[in-house]
Amino acid sequence: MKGLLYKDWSLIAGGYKTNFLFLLVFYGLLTVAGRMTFLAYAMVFVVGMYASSTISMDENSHWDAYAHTLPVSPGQLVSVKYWLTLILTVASIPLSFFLIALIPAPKPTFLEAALGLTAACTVTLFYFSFVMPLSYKFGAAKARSWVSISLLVVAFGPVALFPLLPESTTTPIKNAASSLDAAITANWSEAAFTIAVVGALLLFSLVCMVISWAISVRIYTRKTY
Amino acid sequence: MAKEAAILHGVQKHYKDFTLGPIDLTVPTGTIVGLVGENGAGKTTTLKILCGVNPADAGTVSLLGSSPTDQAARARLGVVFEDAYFYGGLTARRIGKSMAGIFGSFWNAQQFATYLQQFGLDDGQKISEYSRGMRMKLSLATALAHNPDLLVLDEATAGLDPVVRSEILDLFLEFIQDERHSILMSSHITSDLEQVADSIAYLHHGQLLFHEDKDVLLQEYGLLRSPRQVLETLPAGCVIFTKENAFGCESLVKGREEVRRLLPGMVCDAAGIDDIMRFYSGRDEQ
Repeated sequence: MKGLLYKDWSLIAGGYKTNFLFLLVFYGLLTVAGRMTFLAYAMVFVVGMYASSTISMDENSHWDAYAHTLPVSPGQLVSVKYWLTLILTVASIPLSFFLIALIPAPKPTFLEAALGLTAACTVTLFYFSFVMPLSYKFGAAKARSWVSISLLVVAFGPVALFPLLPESTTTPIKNAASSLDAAITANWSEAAFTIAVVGALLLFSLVCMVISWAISVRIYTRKTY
Repeated sequence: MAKEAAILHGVQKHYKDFTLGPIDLTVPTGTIVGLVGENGAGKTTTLKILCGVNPADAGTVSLLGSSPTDQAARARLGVVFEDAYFYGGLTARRIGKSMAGIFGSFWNAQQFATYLQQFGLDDGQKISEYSRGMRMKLSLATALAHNPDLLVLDEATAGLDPVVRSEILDLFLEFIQDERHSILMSSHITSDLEQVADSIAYLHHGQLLFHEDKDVLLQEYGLLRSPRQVLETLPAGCVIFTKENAFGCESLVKGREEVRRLLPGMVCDAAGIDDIMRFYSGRDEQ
């Protein structure tokens, strides 16, 4: 496992050194000078995604066939990608905090920054959870396309579909949403509710990671070369 | 120590347009087995099944007394596939460190460094900057540095110049000196196999046509040049296949000395592995 982790780390360090420096300078300047806080959050996603890109590198070099001849299990080969994503995502958090801290006042509060970064971690882990099993099943390039299309459909599909529905269908939905909103407003403060939702989503994304790992191991074990 | 480093028994693998086997193949400990066959004959498929890359659809595989899925057995296995398997951005130094983590106590970093030096490889240079021959040498250094009991090589000498090939073949001979190590190697360069292999296994259209001792094989087979009617005087099963041309017939015969004795006026030269493959392949196509 240690050797596999080192190999993937070497791929990232060797392949993305320039990319990371560019990211740091470009995102850093825009975040600080342009007050574009979202770029600091986006950095978490970009750095976290470095790990999944090692799958394409493995594909290009036919590593997976060779890896099956090494004294490691399919579970270890897959796990290393998940661990690396978690490590890189966590490692990018202080960096993003640092960039946000450099923004001249008025800047986001600590809680706002923490919530933003937690949400960024959640998105990274969700994306990774989807893209990994698909990468092992169909290849990294196809997987990225499928996940992007799926996300577009899931995110914008309901928004596009809702106005097209008859009023008899939309009215009960709107009423239910209003009731839920009223109940939440009565029982929760805005900050507490936001923390709870973001925290729950982060937890859910971690659960998705575990499920995704189990599916990936199953696919990887059955894969032939 | 087991008498056989690897045993494939009744192994089959089915693909949409190709079926391997059933094949029976044994790699005796302390020997080099050469696997020959045309492109698409099933050599790589066989080696991948043996190494645990792909499972067999039927039959049994024994790798160093265990199963290819056993990690302990794979720790004693060294593999070189024809395709490179390290990303171009890596260096030999980083690969060495990675393999040290994967093989643990089996990995001999000093040995790896010695091989790199012996092969003239710069451990700080990116693999993408290596030539094909250099990449193959790196693969060999990686496969040998944990002192495996069995070395499986798929076209490992392809793309190397004669001088380097000769060095590597010497390395293989040195590797099996202690009679504890074994090699199973596929190659299209049959002269390499004639130089180092103890036995030759011939795969043709997914079937193992023969696996025989190399010396016996090279002594046994002959290329007979004769008129067609002479062939009918030879015992049944002696002529494997005959090719006719404007000057007469050229036949692959088994039992060269016997043929020479029966036909003293005819030319019957020793047949090489290439000739044997060429005629067996011609027979099957006909």
